[in-house]
Amino acid sequence: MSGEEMITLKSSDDVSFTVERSVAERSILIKHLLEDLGTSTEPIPIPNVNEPVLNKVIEWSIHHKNDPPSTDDNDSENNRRRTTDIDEWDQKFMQVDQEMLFEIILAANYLDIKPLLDVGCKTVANMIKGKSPEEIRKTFNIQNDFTPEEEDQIRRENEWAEDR
Amino acid sequence: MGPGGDPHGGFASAFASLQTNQARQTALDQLLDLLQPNEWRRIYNRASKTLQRDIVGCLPLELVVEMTTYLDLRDILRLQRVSKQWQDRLSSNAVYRPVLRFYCVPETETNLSTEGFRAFVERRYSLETGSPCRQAVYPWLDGPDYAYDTATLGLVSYCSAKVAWVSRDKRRAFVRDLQAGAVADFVPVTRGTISTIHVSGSFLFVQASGHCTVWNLASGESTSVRIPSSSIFEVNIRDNYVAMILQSPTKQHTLYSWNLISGSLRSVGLDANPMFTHWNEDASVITVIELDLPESLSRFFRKKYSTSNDNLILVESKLLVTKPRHSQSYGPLTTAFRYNQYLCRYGTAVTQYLAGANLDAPMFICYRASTDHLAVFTIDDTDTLNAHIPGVNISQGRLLSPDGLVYSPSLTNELKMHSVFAPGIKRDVNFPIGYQDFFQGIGNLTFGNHQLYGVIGTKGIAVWSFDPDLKFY
Repeated sequence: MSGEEMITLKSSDDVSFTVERSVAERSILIKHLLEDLGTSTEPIPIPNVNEPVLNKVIEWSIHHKNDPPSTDDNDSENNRRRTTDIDEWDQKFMQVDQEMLFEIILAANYLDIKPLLDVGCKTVANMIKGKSPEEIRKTFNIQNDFTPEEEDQIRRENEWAEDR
Repeated sequence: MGPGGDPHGGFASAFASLQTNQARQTALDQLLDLLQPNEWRRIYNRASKTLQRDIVGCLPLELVVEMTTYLDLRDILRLQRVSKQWQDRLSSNAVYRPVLRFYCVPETETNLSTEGFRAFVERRYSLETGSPCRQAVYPWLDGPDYAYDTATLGLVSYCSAKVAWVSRDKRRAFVRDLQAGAVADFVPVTRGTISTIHVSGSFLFVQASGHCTVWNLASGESTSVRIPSSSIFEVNIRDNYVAMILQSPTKQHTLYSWNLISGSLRSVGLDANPMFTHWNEDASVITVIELDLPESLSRFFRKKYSTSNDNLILVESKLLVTKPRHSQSYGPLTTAFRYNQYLCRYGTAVTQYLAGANLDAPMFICYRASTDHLAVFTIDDTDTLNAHIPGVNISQGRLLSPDGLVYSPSLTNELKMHSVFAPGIKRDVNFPIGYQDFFQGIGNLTFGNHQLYGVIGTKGIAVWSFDPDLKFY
């Protein structure tokens, strides 16, 4: 363990985490920051991410620190109908409450950790796929604010899509 | 609660006044240690509600868009019904645009409106489930005999709800406008044997006895040019320009551009094997996708030829894709190779589906002019292929959608469908009784595009439409 440079990250609520540089560099934001800073022992503040969330993000980054760099996503035009398959470890990792899931997605976006962002988006997509509007409302505790008339109209417009 | 206890929760206000996280944690832990199972249940119920979060309503829109790329198109429509806020977010152009782009649908104001998008999803759904919304049969008036014959392959053409074919004696060409319900016939001035026809939205192209003739379908006017060559590899008409690729007996290819107004004809030799062409918006540039086959590699080039100033000049060449080749197969590209393909031009995209005995595996090639992006997919899964593309037969024309849906007729009155990108999508469409005649034997010529699938059978033409807006009589 002596070989690798250690980096200290400080959450928005002032909790410090010391991790290997390769773990911290799963975040492209931090990677670029470190490149700009050169060698520095100062803790890096992560102003938008609090302790529990940063803890999760680091847990993910440690598990995935040896992943090959993600293939470039400039193929996204061909990427529709992407599979929502998530590997087993990630699936377990994402078994968190919705608030945490939401915070992880925001953090992954802010820290620029594309693979974690993808897992987060897939997890949300899986919560939604094939469900009726009412089921979705229940899942996320959302008020139905359409009037019965409005609802009726939208339903009629979409009737053809509901036969499966 | 001891004597003198505060009924309004001095405990709670004491907790609220704690200054640090550390202090809150400690106090909370002490409190939790005192709880009974029933009280835990209360907390559990409260927590699961409190920790719910309207994720889609709260995420930045670009992340919602990202998330929608994992959803079925109908999911997107369904999400619009959850709440007004979801309706607002999921009917945004930011959500529609990547979808339309992926399916090569032009980004018009209509398509970007919710009604237009819904109509598009409906059409897609009809395609993906293989359920045609309309079908019709047109018996032959002067029955041509399209028995299995490789020579007839260039003798049927389809574009924009117009089907063109050639009479039994190959002296006359017919165009049926499915939407107007009218048939027109055309006889080349040379009265020679027709070897190739091609119909575009407003023109009919006919090659007969060394002459190429183009009719304006609206005015009936025609113009001809003499081209001393045998085999036409490709015809592509845009505005008043005809692009042609001719193949010499020694397999050399030449690109021609023919200006129908001035009558000028320009040509340029092609080094590599042409795959297909694409005109830009105002017919000032013709793009040719060419395949070069050096040792064990397939290199796909995009070459642009300018037609401005009454010229035809190579202005830009770019290597877009390099792929390893497993065997020495698929080369040289013969005319027969060309037959085992299907081509679809739609918006700014051209897709080509290639299959053949001389290929490693079927290939799906998609060029998007808007992004200058070429995607080449090799379909290696032979089991899937055997199950869903019965045989690789010259006569088995296919319907190809720009996003990789491939339809192929089978010998058992079915239309089999599979998707290049989503191997899970495979369906069989059963044709109604009475349509078998069109599938008897293997002598069927097929035509169509993403909107329509048609078969030229021994008794006439049968068409199935997947687009509710495409009405025909």
